[in-house]
Amino acid sequence: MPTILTVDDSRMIRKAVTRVLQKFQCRIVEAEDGAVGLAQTVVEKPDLIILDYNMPVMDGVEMLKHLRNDPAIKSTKVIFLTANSGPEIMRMAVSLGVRDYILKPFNDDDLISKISRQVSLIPL
Amino acid sequence: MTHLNAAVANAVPAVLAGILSDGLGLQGTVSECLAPQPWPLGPHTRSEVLLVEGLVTLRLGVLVEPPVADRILLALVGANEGSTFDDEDRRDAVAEIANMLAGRLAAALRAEGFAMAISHPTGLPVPSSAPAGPSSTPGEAWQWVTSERLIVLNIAFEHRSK
Repeated sequence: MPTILTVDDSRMIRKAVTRVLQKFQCRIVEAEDGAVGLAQTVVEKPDLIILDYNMPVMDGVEMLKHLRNDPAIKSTKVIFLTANSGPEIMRMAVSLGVRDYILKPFNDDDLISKISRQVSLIPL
Repeated sequence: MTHLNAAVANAVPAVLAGILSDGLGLQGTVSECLAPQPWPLGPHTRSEVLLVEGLVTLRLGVLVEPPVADRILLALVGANEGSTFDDEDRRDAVAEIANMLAGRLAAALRAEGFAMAISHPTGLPVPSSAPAGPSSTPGEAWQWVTSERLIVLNIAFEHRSK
């Protein structure tokens, strides 16, 4: 069963992602900013991180940089879930190994489809 | 009107429709007010995000009245969560809407050559007595109102001197 970590400062977005994922066999972990997300990644060893871009304390890009510099967790798969689009941000995300991105507000089917490409999602 | 003002005015209708109508299923129409309007007197939740480009700051204020905040919450977290939400839920949802609007607007402006930086959303206190004017202006301000006048987007331009 995959472990999926959602890192987003919005409680509503974390709830929304959980609402979608709780229909599948997976373990869901949440963090409210990049610093907590990084700590959770070390402890929980998630198979996939769904990562927001614009967050207080530590934003998504900063978290990604730390992640990629830590040999123990650097290969963790990451999908960006962001309100910020635009080629510069996406180029930076790709350069840091982001697998995919989803624009907010997201569509449930799109979220499931993109997560399924990274980890196996088996319906309950 | 500066190039930035014009780019904002061109982008806002599509940004609002893309998030509120297409993304969250909140049907409505968008209209432009050529002068700042007072915020509504009734209960509402406000959030603010700053977009900065050089010496210009766009103060993007979003106001949502409770029924629409609840509809946004339902669209985000689903009916299984129950239909009652508290003020903290509404503040979180409105901050996220402000963040989404700012993100899409910044992307549209970047495509026009403006290097926009975005702040984190900040919740704003709701005035308890007289209606407060939109976040302040000198400069130009736009306000966009849905047909039901339940979601207001105000963008105030603040120009700093060098």
